[in-house]
Amino acid sequence: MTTTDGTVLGTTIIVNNGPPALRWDLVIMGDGYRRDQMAQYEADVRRFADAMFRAPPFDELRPAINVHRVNVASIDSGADDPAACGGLGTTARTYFDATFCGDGQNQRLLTVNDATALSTAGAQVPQWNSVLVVVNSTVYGGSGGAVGTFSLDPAAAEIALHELGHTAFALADEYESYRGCGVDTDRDNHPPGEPAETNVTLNTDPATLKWRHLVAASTPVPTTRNADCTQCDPQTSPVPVGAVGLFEGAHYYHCEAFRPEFNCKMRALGRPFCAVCRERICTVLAPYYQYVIVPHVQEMRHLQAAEAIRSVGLVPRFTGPRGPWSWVYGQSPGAGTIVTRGSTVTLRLTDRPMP
Amino acid sequence: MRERGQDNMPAPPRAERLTFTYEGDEVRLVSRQPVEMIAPLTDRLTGYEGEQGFWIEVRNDQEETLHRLVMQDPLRRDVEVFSPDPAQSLVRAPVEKSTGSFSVAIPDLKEADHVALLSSGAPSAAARGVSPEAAARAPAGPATEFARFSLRPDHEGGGA
Repeated sequence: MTTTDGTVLGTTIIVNNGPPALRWDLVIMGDGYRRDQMAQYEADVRRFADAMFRAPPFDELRPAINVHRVNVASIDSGADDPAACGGLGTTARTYFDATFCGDGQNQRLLTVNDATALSTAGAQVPQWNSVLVVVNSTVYGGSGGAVGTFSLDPAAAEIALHELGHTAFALADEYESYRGCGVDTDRDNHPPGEPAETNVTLNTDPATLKWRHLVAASTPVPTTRNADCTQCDPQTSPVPVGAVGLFEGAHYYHCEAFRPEFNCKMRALGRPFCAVCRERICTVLAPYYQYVIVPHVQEMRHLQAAEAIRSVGLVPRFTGPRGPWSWVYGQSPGAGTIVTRGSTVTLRLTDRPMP
Repeated sequence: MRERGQDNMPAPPRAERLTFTYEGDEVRLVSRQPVEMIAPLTDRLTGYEGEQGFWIEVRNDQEETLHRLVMQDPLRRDVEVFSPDPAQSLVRAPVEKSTGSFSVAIPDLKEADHVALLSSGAPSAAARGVSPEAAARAPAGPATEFARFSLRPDHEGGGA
């Protein structure tokens, strides 16, 4: 149950949008995959990456993100599943020491050795921004913290996205209980002190609310209040899905803490990120979206070159004849140059016969 | 790094990755690694007095904050537990033993003198003589500094 129980085989960049120094680099590693299960591992990582890039706002931020797959082979398949939490009592010799029941109490808490995961990520991709470990088990589970962990249960990818919200984007939990609705007896009113995170607040003043720029004039603020602060609020949303307002019940308290939308992935799995969380994610990723690399378009026909330039977020400008057979004999800046997204690339055209 | 275009691209981005280990509230800086990468943007540098949460501040020798990163509290005092039940998919549970590692990338700033860790998290159960559950569930107050580490070249870790 240590690094002697496996081998790092290498790293493959599966979503490559440019040099790691300029991009937000997500590192995904696998645990509990034997060497003969690497093809399955590759498919599992691809499936998660595809799910992530379908989830707004990641769908529109793809050019800012690289995804690196670190290929790690373990001696055994799966993860420890202690009987203490109702598991099968099995153990598996794996590189990152994945185990369910990571706190000794909750079977669904799937953890790995954080220190090993961070050092492996650092050795493979020094520029990493966030690290996830996918564990080869179909039992539902996952965890957050410095390293996000999730299993192969179809719903577990939601855990990874929620935990990315915490670890990569500093988003707070928006749910209104600690141990669960109907369980807590000490979660009535949030104590004073504004949370530093962008997506929860104690402030009910519409003029100074931190997400006021996203609230429509027609939306009341507060939008909902909890009539019984000893319980989670049972009411349904009085505003359409996606309306930003001020909804009471957040940050593990029934009252006096507020969230921006009625629902959000930081409140319940299976929901999209709310507008405030999406905005935070965009803000964090903005520096990694800023720069692009000029593609090589010399000797392309001018329409094909224009499409290649536009496809990376640049603007083509032509000089010379623009006939159906004209082609690029020079470009400035040259291929491989790093420029700001939206910059102009000058393409010098000619209609001489192509060499 | 590749060629830089016009005057668009600043000098190659440089950052430093700090890796910490912790046991309870005892935090140790165990490694500093220079990395050519874009460091995360700073969060607000003013107007957060009295706020609660966890953040890291890079400061100069005049105690001025140069860079601030709000984070989820990386000192794991409790954990998130997941359920496939869509009605209540997320709850939390305190942990008995709070140990682990975390890492953060900060910009390579010439004036940086030290990094400070601030948290409103309850002190560890052992320090307060209460159960982990009581400690994890205690109301949080304003964040206060609980650790600092020198970033001067002659320091390779340890407290400032």
